[in-house]
Amino acid sequence: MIAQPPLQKPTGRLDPRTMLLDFFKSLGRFGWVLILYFVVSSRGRGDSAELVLAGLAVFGLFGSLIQWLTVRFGVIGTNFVYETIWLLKTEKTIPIDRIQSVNIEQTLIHRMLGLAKVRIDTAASGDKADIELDSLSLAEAERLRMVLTKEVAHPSESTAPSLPLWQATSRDLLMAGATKNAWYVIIGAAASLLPFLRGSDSSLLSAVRGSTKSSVPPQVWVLGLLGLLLAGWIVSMVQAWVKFYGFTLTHHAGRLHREYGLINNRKNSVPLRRIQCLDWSTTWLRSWVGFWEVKCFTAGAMKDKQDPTVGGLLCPVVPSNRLRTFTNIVFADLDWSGLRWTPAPARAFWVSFVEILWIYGILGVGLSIWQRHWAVWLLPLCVLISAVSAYLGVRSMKVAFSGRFVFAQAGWRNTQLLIVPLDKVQSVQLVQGLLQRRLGLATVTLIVAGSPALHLAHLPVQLASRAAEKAVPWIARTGSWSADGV
Amino acid sequence: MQTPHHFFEVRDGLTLQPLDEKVKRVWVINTFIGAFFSTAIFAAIEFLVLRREVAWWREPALTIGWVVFTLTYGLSMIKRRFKSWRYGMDEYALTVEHGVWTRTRLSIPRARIQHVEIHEGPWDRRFGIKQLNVHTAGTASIQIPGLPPEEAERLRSELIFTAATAETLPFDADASDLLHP
Repeated sequence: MIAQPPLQKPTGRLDPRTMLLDFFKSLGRFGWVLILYFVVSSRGRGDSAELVLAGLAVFGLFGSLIQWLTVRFGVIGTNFVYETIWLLKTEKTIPIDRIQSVNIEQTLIHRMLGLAKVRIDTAASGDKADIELDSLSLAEAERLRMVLTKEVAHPSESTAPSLPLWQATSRDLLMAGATKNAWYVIIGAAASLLPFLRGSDSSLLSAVRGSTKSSVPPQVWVLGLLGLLLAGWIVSMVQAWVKFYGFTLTHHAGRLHREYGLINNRKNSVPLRRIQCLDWSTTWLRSWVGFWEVKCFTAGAMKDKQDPTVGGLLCPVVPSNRLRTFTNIVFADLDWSGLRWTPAPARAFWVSFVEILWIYGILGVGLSIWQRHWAVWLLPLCVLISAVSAYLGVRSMKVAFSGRFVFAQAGWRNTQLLIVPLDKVQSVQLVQGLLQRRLGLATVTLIVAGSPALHLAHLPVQLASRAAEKAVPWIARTGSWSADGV
Repeated sequence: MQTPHHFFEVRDGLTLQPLDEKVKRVWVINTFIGAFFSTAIFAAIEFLVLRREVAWWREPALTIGWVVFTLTYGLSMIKRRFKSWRYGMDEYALTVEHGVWTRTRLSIPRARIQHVEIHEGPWDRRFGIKQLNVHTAGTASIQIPGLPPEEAERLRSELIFTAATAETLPFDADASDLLHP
């Protein structure tokens, strides 16, 4: 009979200051109650602000006290154990070698109190972290991260000492913002204000219609639009600068560490061997100035609940000439010289054309019905735009294999290049739609945990079928490269 | 190797087989249930949109038309759907293919399987069949409906308890020949 190990319980506790943090948070959460109360009381319906404040304070403090008293965590053997021991009893045990990443976040309140939030992700995390320890002292959070990310290096990992890979200067960050203009946000916000500016009874549509019929000279419209674009541009730059302030990416013992943020400070630690997919993307504006954005995806981590736009973001701006060097830090054995690109065949144009025509066609027909007298000419224009988009889109599609890596590039306005190690692929899908069947094409989709799927789109059916059928045994024979399949 | 029953080329050593015929009965019942609910929604929308604006007989006529359409389409697809479904397992992966309009073949390498479950709905129980669900760490999962109970158990045991291929590629293995033989 196997002897049972003695039952151990985790002893780690949240920082006592968590009560203060939760109090501030509940003030924020119930701030609208206070505002509502003061608005009502200012109209002479009551004067007991102290009572309301006291009630909220007691409510907030009680919740915080419960959280502080009931949460326990700690490392027991090779597992990280987390439990809550009150009304809803929970016990989570995560083998440390299954942890995908450990993230430290500091909001403004955390920083004021010297605290940090620790998020622990595994392959099963999805959008929400598996475990969130809301408030530890910064030193304790750092210590925990060190313990949880201490793993045996993988054959692909470099054992070089800590390397600062990239430190974003203010110029880099302003460039990141300047090439990602938030003009649509500004126009949206301005448009939503229009009805209010024109009186309480008018809807947005009637306000826009009224504005177009009024005698505002066209120069004012042009200047207004330019003003909005300029405002959007400035907002984008400030936003990028504040969000990514002090962005530093370092490489140490097979792990990438990144730290950034002026107001909310964030720290990530990702084992290189957990990276499932690397995503280079650029807009036409960014490619014009020679910059790309690089994302990396793990099975369940690198996501940010409060800001989904930074999910998986490795570097907000990387100059084109440093991309390959940068990629080789993540995938050390990637050999660029062996790349042989296979373009999508010309007949894939028809599949792409029909897909795009659906969208533009619906838009064109809708507008033609709504504004009969001027929008009918939109229909041939929709066909033309669809044809040009499809032609350029198909021309930009290409795939390649090199070593254990597969590459897929697509997009002519916004270009995206996905790089996936074949041994990280979870499943292989071969799909053939009606039109593809007619044209003798098929798409191979490689599905990777926590990452966008990689499509080898519109390949000749024989080639696609053979590639898929050869890829499956190849992937299966890499099973022992990773103990848990991710 | 291309056979009339397979959508795409099949790798050597893999045999794809059809589902149990009993699954067609479950699909017939599901078609009727689906038709019932979709008709209820259709009739409600019709009532709200067409009220007092059309002749009295048009609403029931449209509803009957809808019922006839959903049942005819649903029932006529069952045979084709059954014919399109194939599954198989070899030393490397579990593979399924299906699809009447859009043909799909999905393969999950056995080393990537995270967990397997056997599902049995009330109609499955009535007709003596089971459904096998296989999950990976990615978003794709395989659901094989209409398996005889012993076949579902066999697949589950093999997927979970039998080791996948013993072969292991060296870490510097080259995948370039997947596209360029």
